[in-house]
Amino acid sequence: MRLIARFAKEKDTYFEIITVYDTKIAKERINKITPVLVSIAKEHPSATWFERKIRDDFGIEILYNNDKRPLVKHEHFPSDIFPMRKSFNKLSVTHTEGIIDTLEDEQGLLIGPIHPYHLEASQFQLFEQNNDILHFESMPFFKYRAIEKMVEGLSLEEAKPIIERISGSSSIAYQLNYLDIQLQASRRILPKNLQEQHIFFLEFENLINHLYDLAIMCQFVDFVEGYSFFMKLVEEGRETISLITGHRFGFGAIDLEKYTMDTKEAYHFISVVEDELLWFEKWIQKRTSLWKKLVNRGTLTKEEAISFGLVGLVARSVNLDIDRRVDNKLYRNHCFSIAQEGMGDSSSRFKIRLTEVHSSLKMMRCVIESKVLPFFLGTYQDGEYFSYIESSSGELMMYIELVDSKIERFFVRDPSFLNAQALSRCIKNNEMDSLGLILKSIPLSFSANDL
Amino acid sequence: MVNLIQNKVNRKRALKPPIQDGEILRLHRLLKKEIKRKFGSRLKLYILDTGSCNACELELQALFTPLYNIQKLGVEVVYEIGEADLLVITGILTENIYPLCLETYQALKEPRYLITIGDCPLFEAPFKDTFAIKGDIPSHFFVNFKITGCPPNPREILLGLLKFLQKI
Repeated sequence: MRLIARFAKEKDTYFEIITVYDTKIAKERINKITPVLVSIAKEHPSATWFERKIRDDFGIEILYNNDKRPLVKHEHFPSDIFPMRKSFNKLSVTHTEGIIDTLEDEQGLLIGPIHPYHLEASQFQLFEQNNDILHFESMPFFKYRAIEKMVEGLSLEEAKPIIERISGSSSIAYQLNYLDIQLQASRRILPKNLQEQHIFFLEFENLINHLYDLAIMCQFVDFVEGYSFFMKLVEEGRETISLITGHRFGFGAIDLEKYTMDTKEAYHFISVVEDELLWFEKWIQKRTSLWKKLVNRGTLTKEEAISFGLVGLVARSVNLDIDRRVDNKLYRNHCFSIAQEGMGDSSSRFKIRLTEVHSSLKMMRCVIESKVLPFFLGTYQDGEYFSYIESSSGELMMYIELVDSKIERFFVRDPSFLNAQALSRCIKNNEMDSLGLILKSIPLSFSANDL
Repeated sequence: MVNLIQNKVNRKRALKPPIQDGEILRLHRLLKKEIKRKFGSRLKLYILDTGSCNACELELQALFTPLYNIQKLGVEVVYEIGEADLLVITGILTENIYPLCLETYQALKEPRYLITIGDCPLFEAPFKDTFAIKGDIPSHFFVNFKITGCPPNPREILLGLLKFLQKI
């Protein structure tokens, strides 16, 4: 069983722990007087972060999880405040002076929040010796905005602009996840042509993200021509998606009242990328200096990927067939196939991105001419709703509980939440010079991870 | 020999710069002049994301790609605040990052220049207040210039940079 997410919510007389696997959803009740939860981290190592978050959010103690460090609450956050409890409704907390951990070991380094490896503020802890990385760890929630708490009590309409800004580069994936929940809550099914239009937007976003990651990977291996090539396409992509959706990141793109699309610009862009890629891929096939720098960097084994429950192209780079798109009938109708590689290193992740760029282009071509008519959502019914979608980084899972048409509990598990936990395995024993490449080869969004 | 020639042709094709329109060329010309006047040809930016969705960072990064190519004008990003001429802040000011933001601002060399990018630092994006949010940047730091938008596109950032330089 693959662990997808584990989170808590508060009820009147108990806490409920929801554990989502690929085959089932398990629920257990924890009493409120002495809340204790038995860890599942031994069977599912990725449960560690989920359980540390549960402890910080709700003050539920975790039994048999050796990692007692806080995850969400930083050093100066009062230890007796559990912000996701319903009784906590303050808009500010008095932060304690707190002792900020410093590394005493001469080999230890705290990297970030600003560093050349990643655009977003994030912090990493790293130990190195003779240019070899001995230990590496990501320290999340560095720019915690408390979005789960922020949307509690809001209606689905009120929360929408917040959800679409959780992660700028995955905005369309988040919007579609959210729309799926709105559809479930209103007991509606989206017409086929509208679904196809949404596939077009999602694949467009995936395409831009892959092209961007390829550019940055080229930059880290000093392949300036590759960087220049991909970045030109990224900029053209952003301009085109802006013409189609009205926004360079697709904010507000999933709007059921907008139903026209400038297909001429889209066709032009698709053709340009297809032509350019054909030539570029032929050229780099023989460029051994590029592949030498990618091969055996940041290697993950299939066993590690399974044990950490990794998703997206990181999982697919070790031949795992994890991709939510295969569950979608429309993708299957258009002969969508999963891109897989077997080496589990940076070269595999580079190749998968190239293959996925092609499959995104193919899907976009297949669905571009969908004629869309207006569609309206009905009244929302209270209940619990789960939604899954494949973003460019991997499987994105969202949960909403509606009570009296307001959000009672919101939880989202970005693919980065799982994949960031595997960074330590991936980076350990590599050379310091490869750090930037490996970090960029794994799609991570800290804004989505830190919520 | 044929391979060498072919490789050279391929390199040239990959590196071929996109066509910059009149607006970009005009902004480039004016920016170059202002940077030279105010910072002696090199303007070093330190970018601090205090809680953004990463769209502003991506738009800032777009300035360094072949189309906007602002490194050609002498603009560069530094990772040591002591080296920076200008602190650029993106994102909502979160409680977790506030101590670091304060430390960073204080380490900025005099005269301290700070600009904000996007609606988040002004707390004008659709986010709502929570215990994890400190507030808007101008309530806590002196801001020399605000480039608004959600996110502002690269041209708007270029124009904002120019206006900031003309203002100081």
